[in-house]
Amino acid sequence: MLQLDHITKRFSSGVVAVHDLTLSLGTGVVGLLGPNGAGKTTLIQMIATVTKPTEGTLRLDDTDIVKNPEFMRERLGFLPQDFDVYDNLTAFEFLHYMAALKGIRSKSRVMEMLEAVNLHTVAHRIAASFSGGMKQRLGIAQALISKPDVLIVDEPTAGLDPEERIRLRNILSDIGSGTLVILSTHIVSDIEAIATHIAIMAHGSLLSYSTPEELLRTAEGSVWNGVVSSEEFEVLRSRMKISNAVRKPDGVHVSALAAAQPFDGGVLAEPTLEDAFLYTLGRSEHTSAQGGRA
Amino acid sequence: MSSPVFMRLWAIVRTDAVLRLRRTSTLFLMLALCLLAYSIIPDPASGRGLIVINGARSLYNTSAVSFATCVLFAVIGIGLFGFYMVSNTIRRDTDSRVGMVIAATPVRSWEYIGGKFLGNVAFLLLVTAAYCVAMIAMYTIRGEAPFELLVFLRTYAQFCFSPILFVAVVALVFESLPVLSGRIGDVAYFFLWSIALVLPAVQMDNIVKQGIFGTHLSDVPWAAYIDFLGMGTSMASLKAQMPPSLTSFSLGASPFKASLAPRIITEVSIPTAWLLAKIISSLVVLLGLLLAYGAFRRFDPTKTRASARHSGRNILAVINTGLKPITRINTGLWALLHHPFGRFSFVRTVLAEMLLIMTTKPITLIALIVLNILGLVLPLASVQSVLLPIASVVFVALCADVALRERRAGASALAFSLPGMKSGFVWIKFTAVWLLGMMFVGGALVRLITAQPNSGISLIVSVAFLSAGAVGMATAVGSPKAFMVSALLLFYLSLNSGATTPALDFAGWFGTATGEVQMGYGLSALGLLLVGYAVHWWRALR
Repeated sequence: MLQLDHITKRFSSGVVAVHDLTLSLGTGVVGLLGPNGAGKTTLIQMIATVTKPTEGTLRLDDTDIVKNPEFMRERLGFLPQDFDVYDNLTAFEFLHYMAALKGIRSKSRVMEMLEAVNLHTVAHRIAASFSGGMKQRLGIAQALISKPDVLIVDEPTAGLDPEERIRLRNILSDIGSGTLVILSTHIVSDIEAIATHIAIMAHGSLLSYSTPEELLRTAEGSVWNGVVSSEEFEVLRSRMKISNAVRKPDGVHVSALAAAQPFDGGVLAEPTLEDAFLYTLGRSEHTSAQGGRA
Repeated sequence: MSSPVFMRLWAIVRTDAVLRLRRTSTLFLMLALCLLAYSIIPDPASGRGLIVINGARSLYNTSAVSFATCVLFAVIGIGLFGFYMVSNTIRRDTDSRVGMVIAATPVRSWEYIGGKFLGNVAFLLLVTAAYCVAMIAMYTIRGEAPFELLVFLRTYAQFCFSPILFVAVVALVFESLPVLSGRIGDVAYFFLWSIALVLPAVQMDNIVKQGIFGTHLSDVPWAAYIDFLGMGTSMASLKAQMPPSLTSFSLGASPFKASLAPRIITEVSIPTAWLLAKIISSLVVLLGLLLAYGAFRRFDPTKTRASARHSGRNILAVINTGLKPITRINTGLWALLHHPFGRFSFVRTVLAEMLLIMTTKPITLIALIVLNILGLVLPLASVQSVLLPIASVVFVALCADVALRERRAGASALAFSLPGMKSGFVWIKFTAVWLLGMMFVGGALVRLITAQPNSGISLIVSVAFLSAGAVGMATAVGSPKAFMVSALLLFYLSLNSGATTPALDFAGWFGTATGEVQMGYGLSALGLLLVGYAVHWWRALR
């Protein structure tokens, strides 16, 4: 459905934000994971036709959307990072405005969307007075109002409390099949329950693209759980990736990523997505370091 | 509105209008229009008239009132203030990131630019309509002949369409061109306005004097084609009704000789050929939309970032970054906060505010040094008539947004957590800006006080007046533009009137201000601060 071929984005400063990325996306929820500065936002902006790639092609249903961005825009719902609303519009007015820009004249559709994101009771309140979570839900509503084939949301849970995160996650998981949802985040828990595919990026490159199950399999045999003293924990932390650590009366309960047993008493554990994500990042850093030495 | 294109255009126009009408600054604008209506049509019993020709006032009939009020509004209300009222429409979409959402919708760039242009036109028309209502209401009080609605509307239509189109286009062009999209653009527009006002009027002076009106387009002077604000054309149009020996003419509340019989002015119409020229030039102005369209980046973050680096908005930022090392001078000054007098939180906060201005804008330090050296070495006459006006412009440009810094940085809550900052915000900002202003003109002030004490007092009052304007107006309307344009207009009027109008010698530039004038500016400063204080508290209570 959406085909990215050798996409590169180079800024005028010379910085390469996305490097030679090739990816093919079908329907379902794609979690785009990566640390800050990985190039996720730039990639998303290119898919959303907000900016153009320096090299490469982007095709939606065999149509080149770099040359013909309208084709994508007519099928797209987009929620950018740090989305805000106008100072003096109510939620209803704002959504009505966005609906009109997308060619939708139905006011009932606007109310329907406000109900879908549970903002209908505050529809006539000035949206600038909303909490961060309410603004994000309004952002999701504007992205969904045209029933898009492609929905792109960039870091939608940033700054939200746990309750709002779960609420947003539920809204996204309710989106029907036949839609491609690209959800960019650096928080694994945002996508672990809803993603059908996970793409991991770092330093502008695609490190992995697979189903969550495949991703989990890559980290099998590399996650070690155990209890260590505080002193041992400090040493471990400097030597390897720690995916989880909880201090308890008997010591620090850790999950460490390592090819072999990293500490006495360490037992192999089933990897979580967080483990798999960190494992993939660690492997990439290891490869780059080796490449650097070579 | 059946086609999607019209639907999108209408959505942009309607939303822009709603957003602007709900701004606090629009409320202030409407209040200002009511006050303007009251003051612009003075009671003849006060000795002042709306139009005064050779010392005789005109009778307050519809023709005279509509012509005078319309010309003044077209030139100053729309031509100058209108620009600052409509010049943030693209920036609003960029700042809120709604622009990026719009960029990902089927809205085409030309539809967006077209919608924003029509939104500018619609808002300026709404403001014009509100002004007309205020003037008609005033006419019911001061009018001396039956009101003729059609004459009133015809006059406004003739003289206002060109400035409305001009401002609506130029505001978009300025916003689209990175080099003109910030503070430098705000100042640059003021100079453009001055040129657009004066140049055609001067060029058409002979026509006005001779009253030559050709009936063909070829008879229309070239200056009429660039008379977007309509000053020259309006004077030329009125010429037919002026006496052959015109010695004096004024628009607005001006003194007249009560002994002379009032003149009756009939409907002032722009001659057909001139009107045609105006229509042609307005159509040419519309071509500016192509420039705005060409420069529009469609919220592409990579292009916007790239242009921001090279933009005029950032010229000041680039200079300030380059000058950053000199702020080491301030390091020692921060120690002042630990001085015994620093235990008074007001003093400490004021000092901190001054140091913050000088640290975040190192160019302030350079201006301070240069202005003081020049103030001490230049001949006193040059200090008064050249250096002080320049210092005023620099001061206005550097201090216009001091009261908005925390709000724009999203740091208001942090700032208000400081002792006394929330309750004393307006007074702290004012005192800091005023002291900084006094430091700007310190060298000049020392010489003025000794040579011309009256001018020295005027200078002190004027710094207080400008500081109060910067803090009070920015706090009240949430933008530095209202203050900037008002201050620049005051400077323009003051420089143009020279020593002839003591009331405009607000800063001792000509040494003609009386005690009453100084008192008036002092009280105005207090009024501005009280307005800022009231709005600050109203916001805090919300």
